[in-house]
Amino acid sequence: MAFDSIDNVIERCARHGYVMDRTLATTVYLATRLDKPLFLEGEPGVGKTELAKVMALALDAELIRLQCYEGLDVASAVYEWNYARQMLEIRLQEARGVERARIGENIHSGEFLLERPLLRALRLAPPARALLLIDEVDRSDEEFEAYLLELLSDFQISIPEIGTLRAERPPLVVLTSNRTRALHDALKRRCLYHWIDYPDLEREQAIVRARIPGIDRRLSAQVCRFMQWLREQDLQKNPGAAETVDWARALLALGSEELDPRTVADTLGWILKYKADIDTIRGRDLGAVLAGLAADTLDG
Amino acid sequence: MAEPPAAGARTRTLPDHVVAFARRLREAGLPVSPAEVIDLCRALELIDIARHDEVRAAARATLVRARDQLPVFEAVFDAYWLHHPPSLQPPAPADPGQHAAAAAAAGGDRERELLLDDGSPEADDESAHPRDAELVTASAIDVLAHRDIGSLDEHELQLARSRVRELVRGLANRPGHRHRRHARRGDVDLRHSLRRAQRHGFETIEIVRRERRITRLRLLLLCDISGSMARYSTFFLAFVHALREELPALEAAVFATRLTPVTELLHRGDPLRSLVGLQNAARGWGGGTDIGRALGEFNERFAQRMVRTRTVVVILSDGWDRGDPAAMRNAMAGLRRWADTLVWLNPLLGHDGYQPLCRGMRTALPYLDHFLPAHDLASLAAVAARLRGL
Repeated sequence: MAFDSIDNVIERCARHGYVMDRTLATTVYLATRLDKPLFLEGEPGVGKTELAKVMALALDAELIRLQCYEGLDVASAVYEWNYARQMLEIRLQEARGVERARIGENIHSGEFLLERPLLRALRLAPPARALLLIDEVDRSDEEFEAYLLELLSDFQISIPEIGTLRAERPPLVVLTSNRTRALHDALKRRCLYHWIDYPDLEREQAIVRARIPGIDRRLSAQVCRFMQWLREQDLQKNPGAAETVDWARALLALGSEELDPRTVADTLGWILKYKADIDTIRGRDLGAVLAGLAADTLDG
Repeated sequence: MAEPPAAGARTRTLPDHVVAFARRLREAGLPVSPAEVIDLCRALELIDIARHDEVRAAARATLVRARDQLPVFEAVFDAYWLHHPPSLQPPAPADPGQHAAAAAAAGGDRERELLLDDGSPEADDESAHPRDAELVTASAIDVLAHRDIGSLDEHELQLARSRVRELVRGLANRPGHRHRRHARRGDVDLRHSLRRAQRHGFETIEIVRRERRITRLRLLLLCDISGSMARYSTFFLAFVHALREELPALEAAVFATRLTPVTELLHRGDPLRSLVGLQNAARGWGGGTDIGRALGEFNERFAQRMVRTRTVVVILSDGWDRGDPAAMRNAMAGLRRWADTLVWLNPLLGHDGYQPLCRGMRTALPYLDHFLPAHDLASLAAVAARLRGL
């Protein structure tokens, strides 16, 4: 089931609607072959999380996702004891008349362990394979980052009552970051790094067509060209490919066959998430912009 | 660099080339470790090394660690692998036009300047300074700033460190998201209470509490580097350097008429090199001031990335502003929204009889939490004391 070539990566991910360039495909291929975590950085909406999901589908791996936030601790990321079950077990043993010295002997075994994402990823028994997605790792704090560093170097977890659990087969790991803060170099050094940029026009059209198979070619071309133009404007937050796809879907649902200034102005909320940005773009002569973009096409 | 001539290069094996390429990258300022070189060698066994795009992708994935390293990487890659056999000259001076074009394609002015700076292997030598000065707008301030580096002695750094520690303690006195156990105060810690109760078969339950731990301070420093602030550059450097040691999460930007984030530069090494890098990166070092425009630019473009919840924003400036007061007001109001605490350190405030009469300072005052003096390292002690007392 593993990827056997770079072309194989491109082809199998495309089957699940993910269009990637050869650079990214090479990185993905190397990450799976070298068993190294993949560190994806990029602006929101360029498809970092999506790539992990598609990799899981393409490799038939179980996607295990850990969403990071400040204050994330071992109890919610790794494991917790199931106290209620432990209590019940002791009561049951008492009721069964278990010898006093042996009561509660077994309550620190795997049966009473609540798996959180990291432990689950390590304990998944082959042939099943885990794809561990550590999402928005930049939102976690330094303490968790340090813990992660240790986990990613030897893929083992220590539970004081049980001992050390080691993965039979290390999971594939994908980390994503929006760069809200600089991450420690040591963590990045454990990984293969890739900066996902906004897609160029050609790739963006391929993405839209892959994600919305029925879309009219002309509409998708217009949408993508408008998005490319939008990213050249001085906005507070540039829209990603995810917004492009959402917007194209919305336009289809509205029955639009082509972009006109009115429709664009009415649906800007799909692609721009700040009022100031929406105001900026509404303030432009959208008719002229669309005409200009259409003229570019004819020239090309 | 005693490398064999081109004839020798032909007999080189692939790993030799990888090692030589890694050395070029290090010379250009990318910190490439031996482990990463080994990773690249392993990666090259898995791909088609006749395909140049795959080799590039493999090298990028294994050796690059941040987006802003990409322009340098691409330039060195082109110079080494495309102009094969590798020339013996350091890549950057060979044809700056090409690198500038590559960098311009990948990013803005800052990258270009970084690239040109990093491309020269002597970037940290004394001899390189005239060359650096040519790259940025050569001005008297540059010379002054370089002399200031010399006067940054060990004693000053020591002093800065101890002052900054006090300052940081003064600011960091609020509870964070993480907890520590406490006998009496705080919320019930269910995990530990139940863990203890287990020992007694859950018959008696001793309540364990936990309280929120004081969080590590997040600090963003916005430094005025315009002409009127030039005489404080030693102070500024020592301050930033000591802050960085104390606060790994420090973010910083410098401004005059425009604003430039310099966080990554600060994390790069010793203060001497930082200043050279800062001067190359910053637009308008030692020039005029337009605080409103610079801070407005910060709000629009960088704040979302650089400011997180509970970030203390410290502006270090004399408040001499030649820009539009309305822009300044807007910018301060914007900053007020991002910042948890807004502190203005003004070097002039330390002088007897100073009144914040200049227009820029008057405009900013209503938005500040603290307006404090800072003209030398000693004055920071007073700042720390004030902050602790508040």
